[in-house]
Amino acid sequence: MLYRVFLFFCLSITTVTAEEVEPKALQWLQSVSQAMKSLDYKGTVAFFKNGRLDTMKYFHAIEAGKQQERLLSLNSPMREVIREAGTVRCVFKKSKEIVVNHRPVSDSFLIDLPDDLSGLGAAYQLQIRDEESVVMLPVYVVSIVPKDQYRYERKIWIDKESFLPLKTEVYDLSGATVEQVVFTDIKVGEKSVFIDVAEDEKDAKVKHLHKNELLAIDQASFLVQNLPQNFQQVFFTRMNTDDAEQSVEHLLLSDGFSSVSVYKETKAKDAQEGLQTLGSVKSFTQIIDDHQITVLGEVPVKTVKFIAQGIKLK
Amino acid sequence: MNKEINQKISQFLDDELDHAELDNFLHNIKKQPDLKSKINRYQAVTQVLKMDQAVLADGGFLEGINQQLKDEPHYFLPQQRAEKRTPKFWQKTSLAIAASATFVAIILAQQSGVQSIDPVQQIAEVHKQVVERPVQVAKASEPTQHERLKAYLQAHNDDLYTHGSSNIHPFARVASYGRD
Repeated sequence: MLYRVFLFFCLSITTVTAEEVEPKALQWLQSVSQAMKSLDYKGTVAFFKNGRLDTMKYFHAIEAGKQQERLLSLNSPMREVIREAGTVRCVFKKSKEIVVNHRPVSDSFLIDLPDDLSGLGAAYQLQIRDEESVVMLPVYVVSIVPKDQYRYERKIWIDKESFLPLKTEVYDLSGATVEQVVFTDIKVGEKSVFIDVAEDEKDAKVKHLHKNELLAIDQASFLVQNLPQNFQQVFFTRMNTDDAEQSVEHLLLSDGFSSVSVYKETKAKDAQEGLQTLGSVKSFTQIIDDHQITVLGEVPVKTVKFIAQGIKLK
Repeated sequence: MNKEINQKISQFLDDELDHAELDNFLHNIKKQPDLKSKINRYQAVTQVLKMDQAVLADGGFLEGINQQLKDEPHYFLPQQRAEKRTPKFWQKTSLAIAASATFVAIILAQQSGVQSIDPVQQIAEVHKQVVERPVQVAKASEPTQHERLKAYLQAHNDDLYTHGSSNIHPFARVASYGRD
């Protein structure tokens, strides 16, 4: 009897703690989302992924209500990447090549956060970790732990004063670090120059990605029947390829943190069904009639396979 | 003195000199052109005795190999690695002699008609067969599976700009979506 009372007492404490922690963490994430959009800040950011480390100068500027995010590489190939008004423009200084992505999948180079954080609880559990320091600044540490195995766990180190994310990490299902983004120095509140991107296009070879208009999702010639919890259809477009006769259908799915793309095109001669890995990105291809469908994203194998196997042609 | 030189030549031809002796011997050869031609003659005699057929290797051929060994670049690697990976001088010299012997053997074999088919012609025949075999080749304009995946990845994942470099340029060449 005494044991049962003790067990009930423990469970009550756990429930209360979970309920208390989650709203606080959720509130911090909302503050992070707001701070990232509204503050001027700059520093040096180290990006670690697939065993590769890239260090870049980072600038976030606000001018007349517009925001501009800018990266300057410190190592070769020298490049400047600017995100502005939903477009990412990468300028390669040496080759004078510019790649413009008119429909970037993410909203920030630092971290992707869902627009609506209120629905987060359906797929993730928020946990507050011990307080730490990053670049000599005290931070809150929040773990975003998936409730299923269709997505990866994330951890965010949030500056207690500015609520900017000073460090983020993504872990695979085995707990290994897939990706790490960390400020090695940061200055908050200092104005940065707003770069005029049009000037760079003079005398440069410009490549455009996703320049085509967005289409209504129901115009897709396929249906996605298997969607993990919280994944939603974000946009649908048709991409032209070098082969003028071909066009590729592209549907983007996302749960706010993780995103998955579905591509459909006419079956190629060398089309291979099955799983492929491109660094931390997993892809699964399957052939339906004369079409090949490829699902890829930085998610577990299970996710791309699950989504791909649920695709039906209309 | 002559006896000693003859003995050294004999040891040299039988690959019995140690590193220091070989070094010293080659140094002496360099100074004495007569000794060099004597060695060339002895090498030819050795070949004749071994193969029962006479052919004189072009002196320039051996000279060329020696020159190539001399011109071999030096790699300034840590001593231990260099020791392991770079053949020693006497090994290079042995290889040069072996190459010379092989060259002579090929010439002899060709002259004696042992190999009736010209190897160059044989290679040309095989090449012709390979070229003539029908092969299904994908259209040049059709991207490969790998290129296609890279293009998909670029359209999906803009953090390639932050992780850089090697991936971006090929992508830019492979895919040009939204072309006007």
